[in-house]
Amino acid sequence: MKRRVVITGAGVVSPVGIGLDAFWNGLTHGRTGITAIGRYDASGLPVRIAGEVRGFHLEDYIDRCHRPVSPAGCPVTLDLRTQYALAAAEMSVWDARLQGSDEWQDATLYFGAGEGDNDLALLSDMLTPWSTAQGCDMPALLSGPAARHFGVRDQLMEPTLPASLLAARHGIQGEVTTCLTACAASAQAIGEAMRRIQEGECDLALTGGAHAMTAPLDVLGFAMLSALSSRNDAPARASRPFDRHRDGFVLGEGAAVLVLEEWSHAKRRGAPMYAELVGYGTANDAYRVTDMHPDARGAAGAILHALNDAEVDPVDVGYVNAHGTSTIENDRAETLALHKSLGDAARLIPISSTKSMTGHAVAAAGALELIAVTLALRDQVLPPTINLETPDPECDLDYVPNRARSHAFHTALSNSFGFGGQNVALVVRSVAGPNR
Amino acid sequence: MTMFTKRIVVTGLGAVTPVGNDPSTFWQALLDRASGVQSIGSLAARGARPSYAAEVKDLTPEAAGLPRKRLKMMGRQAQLAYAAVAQASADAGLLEERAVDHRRLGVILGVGMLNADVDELGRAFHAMADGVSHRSFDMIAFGRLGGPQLFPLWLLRHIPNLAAAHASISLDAQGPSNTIATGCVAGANAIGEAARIIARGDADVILAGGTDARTTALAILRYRELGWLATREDVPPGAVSAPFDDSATGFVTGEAAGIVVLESHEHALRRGARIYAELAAYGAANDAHDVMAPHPEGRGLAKALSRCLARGGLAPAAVDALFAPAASVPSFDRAIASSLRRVFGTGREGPVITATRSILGHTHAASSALDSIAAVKAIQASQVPATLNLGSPIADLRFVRGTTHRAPITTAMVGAYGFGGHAAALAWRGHHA
Repeated sequence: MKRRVVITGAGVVSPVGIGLDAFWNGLTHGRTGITAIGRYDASGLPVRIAGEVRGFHLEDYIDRCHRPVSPAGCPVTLDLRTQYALAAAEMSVWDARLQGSDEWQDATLYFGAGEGDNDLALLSDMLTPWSTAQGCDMPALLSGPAARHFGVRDQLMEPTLPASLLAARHGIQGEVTTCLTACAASAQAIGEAMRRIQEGECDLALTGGAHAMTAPLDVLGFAMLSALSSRNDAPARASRPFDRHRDGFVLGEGAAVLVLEEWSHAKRRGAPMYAELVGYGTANDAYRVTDMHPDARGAAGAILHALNDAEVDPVDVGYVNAHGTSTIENDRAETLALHKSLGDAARLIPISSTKSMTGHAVAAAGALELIAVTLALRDQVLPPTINLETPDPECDLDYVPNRARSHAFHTALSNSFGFGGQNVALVVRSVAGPNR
Repeated sequence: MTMFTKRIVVTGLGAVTPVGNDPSTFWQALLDRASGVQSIGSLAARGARPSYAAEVKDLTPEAAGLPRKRLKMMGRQAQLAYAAVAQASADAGLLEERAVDHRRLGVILGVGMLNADVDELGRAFHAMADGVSHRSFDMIAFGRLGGPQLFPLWLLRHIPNLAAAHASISLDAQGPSNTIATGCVAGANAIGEAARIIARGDADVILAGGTDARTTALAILRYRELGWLATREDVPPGAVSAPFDDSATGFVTGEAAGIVVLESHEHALRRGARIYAELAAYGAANDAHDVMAPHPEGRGLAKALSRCLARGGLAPAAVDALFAPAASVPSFDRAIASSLRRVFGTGREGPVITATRSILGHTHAASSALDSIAAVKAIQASQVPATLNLGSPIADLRFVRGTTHRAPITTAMVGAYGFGGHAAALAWRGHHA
């Protein structure tokens, strides 16, 4: 028999709020975290809106003495993605009452992330003298010194940096992995961490994701792919999943970290349990690097695998947290995938996209959304899809438009799809017995 | 206790490396100790430091089977992976009709960090600087004038999981897909991950391994500033990479892709596939110490090796050969030597030890995948290549030096260790029905 896996801790840093209470309060009140970009002057960019985290100070969560130093011994400045990861993990570990526990030694850490952001001013100082309309003179560049602190700054952009810092911080000497499956990364990380516990590899896992693709090159890059909403004049209304007038996604940022634990282990130590993680499924579209398969074969496949894994019938699914990016294509294909995988039950199940409020936190999105699902289960309240004003005939399901809804349910599905044809689905269920 | 609930075998190999662009040429170069580190004329002529690297040579799109239409969307690391995946899938006979259920075929790659392309960014910075009177970075001008200089699809070359995506598309692999970044350990983690997924029954066949192309300007500047890169010019390029040697000064950066086709034993038998070797066990761990430096005793690596041995039911003395992750960085080499002493002792009982990075340079995320291919070849050929440039070893271990070690190899292990405290170990074993 499979070992059972429960969620016993959660921490979140997001554009709609920092900490579980602020995050959940924001989502259930339909508050958006999307505004004009405030961190830098975006007036030269084609897209000037994003979901930025506000009012965040790493010192509020972690002492200076726990922060890394460079090989030369000087303190280093961590990129936002890593700062968010450290803070969310700290909250999550405290929430699970496992701060400073020596049980972390044999734990698994499986994290979804991307690279840190480029420091354009630093790169500009270093490259501009050697650059022409044709490119950069690499031999000349390599014959001189790099810009001050470039080495450490660049090393800290490594995708694995958040996870390796978390391992050092919490003393995790088990398997420590970072997966980079784009918008599905943290959902995949959670699924793989769950498997480690089910398979007896460990009793305890730290998992989730962090990403901050709100920097100038990220915005420029996605804008050039025509993937982003260009509603620069109405940021709060720009992310409108499943609405007929949607025109692309809005980049967001943040981190979400969960503590997963084997059920009897959690019970033995009297740990509070949020929910049980019961299903995980993946499938690849193998179609195009950016477009979803027109029949949504990978998305539907991942959902079916997850339901089979959880031994859950479609009629028992009480809520779906959609990937719901607000692109024309995703929302249509996801609707199709839900029809294909859930059959007639699809029309009866409420579905919402919290990206309407958070924006798209890319590698962190799946974990942010799983925490939203967990809190929805706890409170029996569904967060809405905001900005859903004009129905799209091709998106014909119940998307919980604009207002949170009280809803009695015990099982939920969370979808995460990404560039590269990555598709991941997770299924969670209320823990039997008295609720937290 | 055995590691996997199903037997996992290797049925195909693919390699694009600084010493040859197929597994046989690669293996022969290791036996010949023919270094892949070479002087780069354009760098040497201008006094750049270093003036050498371990680059993949002669990878033409035609020879590598790279689709010309998609090349512009593929970064170097995706191109290397694509070529190695094509070789490995052909080698395993996966391209034959009905060889495999495509919904149960997967791709799992370990990848490296993708630095910005200095030519691409340079054009944008140049256009920005033309439009402003001051010398410092100007965000507005960069957006207005620099942005349009970028190739519209440039982001697609910088999304890490697209190397695996291109491979999945070419093979119509609709099963599990993952992209793992754990510094220089990623290739080993990807192989371990793939084996696990096959063992749990979620796939029949997975192409797994690593790809990395950190020979870019920014990667070189980064590692040079951190003091991890060798810059010496007093010996020929081929003599610079000296793992476990007293004279080591840093690694030589390289690029490569290495892919193994992992398959459940029952599936391989059913389709009559040729079986190269078996993956007996896998172990992973982390130093949990310092993200910028190894634990002085290589704690994570010792743990990964011990876990792998325990799960494979292997005594340390049962390991015949060990492919060590030493890359010629003194602090790492010493930590690795320390962990090997701890796990295997110093006596004549333990495995012979070799470091292929002496010949290949450091191919980062690809390195442990290439070592896995070498381990499989060593088992088949009963030979272990010698470590190049190992005149004065820093430790009393059973290093293979000078000439190839010739003896039956039943079990060969691959150790992986690097930045971030990441560590992993794989145990490969000759195949017996």
